[in-house]
Amino acid sequence: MEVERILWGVFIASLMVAASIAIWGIASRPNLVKKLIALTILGDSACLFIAAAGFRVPYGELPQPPIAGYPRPVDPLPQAMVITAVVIELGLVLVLASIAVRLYEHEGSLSLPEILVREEVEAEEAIEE
Amino acid sequence: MANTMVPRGAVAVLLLVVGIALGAALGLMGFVAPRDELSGVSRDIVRLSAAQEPLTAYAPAYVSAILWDFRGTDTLFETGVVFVAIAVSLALLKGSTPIPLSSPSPVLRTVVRIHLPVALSVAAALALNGHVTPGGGFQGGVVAASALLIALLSGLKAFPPGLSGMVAIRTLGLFLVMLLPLTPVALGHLYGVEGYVFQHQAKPNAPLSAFYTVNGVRLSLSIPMYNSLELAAIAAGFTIALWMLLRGGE
Repeated sequence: MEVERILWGVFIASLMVAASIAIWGIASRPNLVKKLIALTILGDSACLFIAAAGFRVPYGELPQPPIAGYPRPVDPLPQAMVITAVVIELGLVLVLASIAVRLYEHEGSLSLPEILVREEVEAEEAIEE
Repeated sequence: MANTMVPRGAVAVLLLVVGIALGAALGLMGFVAPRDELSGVSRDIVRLSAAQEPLTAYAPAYVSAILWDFRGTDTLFETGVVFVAIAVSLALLKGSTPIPLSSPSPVLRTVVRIHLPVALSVAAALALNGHVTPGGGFQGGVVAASALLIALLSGLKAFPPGLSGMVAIRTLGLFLVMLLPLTPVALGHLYGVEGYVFQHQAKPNAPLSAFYTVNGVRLSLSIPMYNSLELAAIAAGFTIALWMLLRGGE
């Protein structure tokens, strides 16, 4: 039981580490696609954490699915919330990826600092004219 | 060069704050290990879902019961959000440059020919059995969309609906998902009885109800219908959106 408790703690800690790395990725990576990947990792880590919050396994037993007939099913409410979150996240990633594709076609780069510098230079040139 | 990168010190502070906030949230929730008992709301949902008709839709899978029975309106609007996201993506990607793809290998084409019917069967099973086993319309739709996209990328020549047909399937699926909850209200007006939006089973003052079983097969009222429509809408929508992401306006 002690080993399983430790493994559970490792699992939760790894989710937190994944979420923290994802936030670092969103904040620090200049490439838009990498930011998008980090955003996806953050969303999936949060969803997995919420689903894990519904676990009610006594150590040593297999988790029982949330179906009628099982005496000790896992909590179904977090799973229902996670399904909604995953669906919305998928839609969001789709829109962001489409924006990234169009931005690349327009600017020729996916690096946010480069794009912003170019926009600043173009604005200054427009003012000078 | 404009400094648009967040300074490393700020990122470190941000991570520290996030870590402390997560740890505090876990501690406050008392969540250090899996709990032995369900929360109050979940206990009621499990008790009511496991009850026999006519109290609930009696969907043995509690998650489907939550999605389409207990909080059906939330799922309805979530489907609408996905539809809007796909529509926005299609509008943005129309006319974009296709990504050059190498010609698919014969190995891929052969494997896809074997894999595609199996994957579509799994998707249909996930959706149609979503009310009795873990699964549902969205899960089946995503499996179907993945299989169809792989088939398209492998150079599948015979694709009966075509991309325009997939747009029609997506729109029809969404339209019917939006229309089905209003059916009890319309039927109520027709028969001169009460009817509520998302009414699955008969209520004391509203006698309209779908079927619990047909020939001994459990239907959980209208939940399989919602799952099937969601399967069609999600599979068609994501196939088109992902295909346009790769091939642009082609």
